Amino acid sequence: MIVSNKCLINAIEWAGKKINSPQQRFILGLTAIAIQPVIDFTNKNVDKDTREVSAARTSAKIIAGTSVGVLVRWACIKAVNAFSSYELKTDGSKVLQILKKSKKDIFTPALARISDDVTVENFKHLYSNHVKNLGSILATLVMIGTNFLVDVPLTVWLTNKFTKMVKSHDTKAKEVNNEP
Amino acid sequence: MSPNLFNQGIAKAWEYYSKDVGKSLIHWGSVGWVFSSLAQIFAIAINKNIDKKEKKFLIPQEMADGAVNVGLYYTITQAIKSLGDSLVESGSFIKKDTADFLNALNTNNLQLKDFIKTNGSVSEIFSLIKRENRFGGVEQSVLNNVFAALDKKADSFSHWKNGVGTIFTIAASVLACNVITPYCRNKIASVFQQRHLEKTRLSTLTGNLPRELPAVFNTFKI
Repeated sequence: MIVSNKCLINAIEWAGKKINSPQQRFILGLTAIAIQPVIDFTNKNVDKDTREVSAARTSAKIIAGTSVGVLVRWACIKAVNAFSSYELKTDGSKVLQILKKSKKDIFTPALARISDDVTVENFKHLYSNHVKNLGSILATLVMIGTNFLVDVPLTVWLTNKFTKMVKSHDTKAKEVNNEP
Repeated sequence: MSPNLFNQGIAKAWEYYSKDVGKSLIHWGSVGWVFSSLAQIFAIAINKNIDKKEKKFLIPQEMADGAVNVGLYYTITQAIKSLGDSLVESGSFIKKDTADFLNALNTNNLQLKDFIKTNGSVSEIFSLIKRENRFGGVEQSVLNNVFAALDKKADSFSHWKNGVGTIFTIAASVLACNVITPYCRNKIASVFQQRHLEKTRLSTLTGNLPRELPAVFNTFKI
């Protein structure tokens, strides 16, 4: 298929330039909250009480995980961006070497081998990818801590809240139907 | 970590991932899943509200859950992204300007996909021209135009391939994480639960005191 539709081309190339791990995490969270609790709630392999607790826990995990995940990734990308200023050594059109602008730019890839197809024009786009990718890697390491310190307690708190809501809804439904 | 090792790591990140966002999302997404699963297992292990017998059931279940999460995420996203890459590199899904550029080199007037297949892939055609400053039996006048546009067309192709790879990776991760994994996870969890219920039933029959709901439910105080 040869694509000539400019809107489609721009949309696909925009995705490559702008979407990275925070956006991916957000999309995953959004689709997860629409799908996963329903799968858990309709799981006929377990009893009703387990289904309800499972769906409540899944919803809590998704909300806690997505909120913390997006925030940590966004913050880490900002941090890497602040410490990765650069200067370029070029031959006019091709980039020969990346240099740190100052000692504080610890995330600038000064030792990187630059392949001969990296043009000055394209460099900003590649460097933007590099900053976002490095921010995502840093976020993965930071989340070793936040998983325990933030995700788990937040999940437990939200699960209790949601389970209470489900149980009180069940009780009200039984009262309306005059069930014991 | 020594400064040199750190700088080498930063350099490797540039070399592996700067041209391919999708690859980074797959690799580091999988690593993230591993740490997330370990956190869940650790949370169960240190939870004083769960007794040891329950932990013997929950921890293996959580380990199986984690293995399913990581395994399915990596295999599904890698497979679907590879499909996207091969569609682009084989010319099955490319932009018109790249197709026009390649057709200018197609002196035998083959079908575009056959022409690309003969020369390996789209990226290999670009690399060959850059390396050897010529291409097959193409006339000099055409070659001059090709060289003038080469960097721009190569960058344009790279942006396209990166965009397609990113979209395929995102779609694959939604499929893996939100559809296939929960389904598989529920199947595995029900197997664990059935085994646990069977053990509990047998211990009740042999005269132990009847058990109430598993202690893990104490965590969810109403």
